[in-house]
Amino acid sequence: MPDLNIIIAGLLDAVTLTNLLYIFAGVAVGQIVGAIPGLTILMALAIAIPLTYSLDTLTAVAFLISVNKGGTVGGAIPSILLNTPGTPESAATALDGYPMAKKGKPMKAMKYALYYSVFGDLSSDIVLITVAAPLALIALQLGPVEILALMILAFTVISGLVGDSMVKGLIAAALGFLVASVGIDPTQGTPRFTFGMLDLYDGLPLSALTIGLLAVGEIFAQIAGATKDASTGTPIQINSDNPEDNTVTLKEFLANKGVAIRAFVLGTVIGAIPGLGSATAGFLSYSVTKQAAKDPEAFGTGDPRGIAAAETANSAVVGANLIPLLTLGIPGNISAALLVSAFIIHGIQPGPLLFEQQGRLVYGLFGAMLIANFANLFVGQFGMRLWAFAVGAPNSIIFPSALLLCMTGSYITSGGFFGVFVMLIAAVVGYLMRAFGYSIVAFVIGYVLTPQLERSLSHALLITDGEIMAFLHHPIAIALVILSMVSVFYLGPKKRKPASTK
Amino acid sequence: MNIERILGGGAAIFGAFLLLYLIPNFVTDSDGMMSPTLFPSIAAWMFILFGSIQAITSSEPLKLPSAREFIRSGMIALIVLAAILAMEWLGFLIVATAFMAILTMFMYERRPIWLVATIIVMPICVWLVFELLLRRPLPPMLF
Repeated sequence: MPDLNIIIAGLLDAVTLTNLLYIFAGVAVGQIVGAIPGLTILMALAIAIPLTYSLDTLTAVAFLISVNKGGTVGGAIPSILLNTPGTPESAATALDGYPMAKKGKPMKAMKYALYYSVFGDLSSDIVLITVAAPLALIALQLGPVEILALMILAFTVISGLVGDSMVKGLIAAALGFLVASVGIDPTQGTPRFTFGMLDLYDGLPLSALTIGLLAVGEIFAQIAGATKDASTGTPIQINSDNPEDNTVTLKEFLANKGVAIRAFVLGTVIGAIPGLGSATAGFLSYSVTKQAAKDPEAFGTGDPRGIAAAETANSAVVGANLIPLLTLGIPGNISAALLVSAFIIHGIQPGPLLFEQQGRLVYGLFGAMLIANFANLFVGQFGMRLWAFAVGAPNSIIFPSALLLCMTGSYITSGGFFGVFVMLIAAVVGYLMRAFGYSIVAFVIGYVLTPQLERSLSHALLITDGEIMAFLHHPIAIALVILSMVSVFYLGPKKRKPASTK
Repeated sequence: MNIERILGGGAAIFGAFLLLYLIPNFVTDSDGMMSPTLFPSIAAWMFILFGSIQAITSSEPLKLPSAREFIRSGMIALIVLAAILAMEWLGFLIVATAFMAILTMFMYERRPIWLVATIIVMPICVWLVFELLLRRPLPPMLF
């Protein structure tokens, strides 16, 4: 564990003027993007990565995390104003936020969402900061065989939890394996699937690939689905004549503290498990709160407990999902996978060694996360009225602009048109995967984890001298492999209903 | 036969093609503890195994986007391809402006103020951000 000087130096690194500016800018961008229905936080992250290319590592990662945090707040705005979640994470917020807005209190509903979101996010960040370093120490005790088994477990759990079926999730993960193996083999140094093209020797550019899969594929679907009457933008009236309906007092906030604390615990636990996401946390917390209430019939009519349950839980996922990333190097969800790509662009490999080798950077990141929560509160407090206009912005300006940014970003990160071609191919693949129900999350996680998996397997084979039976001397690895098999049997046959559990 | 079964069958056939043709011909094998063909082969076997399971067990029909959406998506992909090819010769600003004009028309936008904002203002803003603020050169005009 890093000593106190490194921790303090790291935390202070986050408080430079440049970092503060980028944190506030990131939060504002995230809130605007979250507020626009159809644009997702993932799109924002994928587009934002190229913008960080020339930045210092801490500034770049702080900016991206701020975009992510801002997105969870912004996503609640269209949920409340239009009953259309700006991001999937905010779907549960609409259940009580929209009825409250219909009662003439849209500003109050948005402020409830903002305050509980910041509470959930801040609390989960504190958990992350507290547990990450000790967990990384434990992770360092694991050998290559155990790491290999852990990654197999992560693959089966993620493939089982995302998308419509585990079988399709595993096919998507296989595609991720295959695409990740393009380029020079990391253990032998021989070319694989390069077809004589020099550009392919370094593998496919991660940033262009994720921009194509996550952002452009979705933009294609949105532009293709456009109709003549769908692109009108009308400003929405959000202020009420009664001043009490425009604010949330401390007493009103604290009235739901029990709900918020339970939601924070649920969100943090769900965030720490790879494969589950904010939407699951929001819905689960909402239904648990409703079941525990003495008056469940009040839910769905504009009850602040519903907003508290959904927003606290979905925001608590944001900090907690960095636990598996920073301690084990395993991205728990797609946002974390995108952060991995940002780390890699800046020459850093996430994992337990990060605390030992880049302790100052990690604590700088933690400092930036804490600041981003307060920035979220500040920007949200003043920006809510403004973002409400963004909700009504026409799709005909949003999606073409986003597509141009994606093309430009791919060009910049890959240093030429090769990346833009990769982006286009990835977009077509992503569009088809979405249309045919294959999980893009499983594909990207498969792609990001494969190089690490190959190295772990290579190290495991080296220390066991290629003897399969030597794996029997690693009880933790055996337990993890058994858990993987259990997860296949438990999660495999289940068909999930996307709206309620994904 | 439903589309799910066809997709599963397609994945399994692709896995076999990978294993029998692509890996032997496009992965350079070498001696060592772990062959470079190992991971592509794992991927191939996963395609074969899970593709077959999908082909055999899937029974529920898949809800697909409409033919109109598929056609429009294909057209957008072609517009992007054309824009990339044109950008190599004509540079960022000219092509980005034309590209935005085509896309906004494609989305049925006819209001002059939004058209100006998207077609003129947006490409200039992107150019200013990348070229001047971030100092990352965008494609120049070749002639």
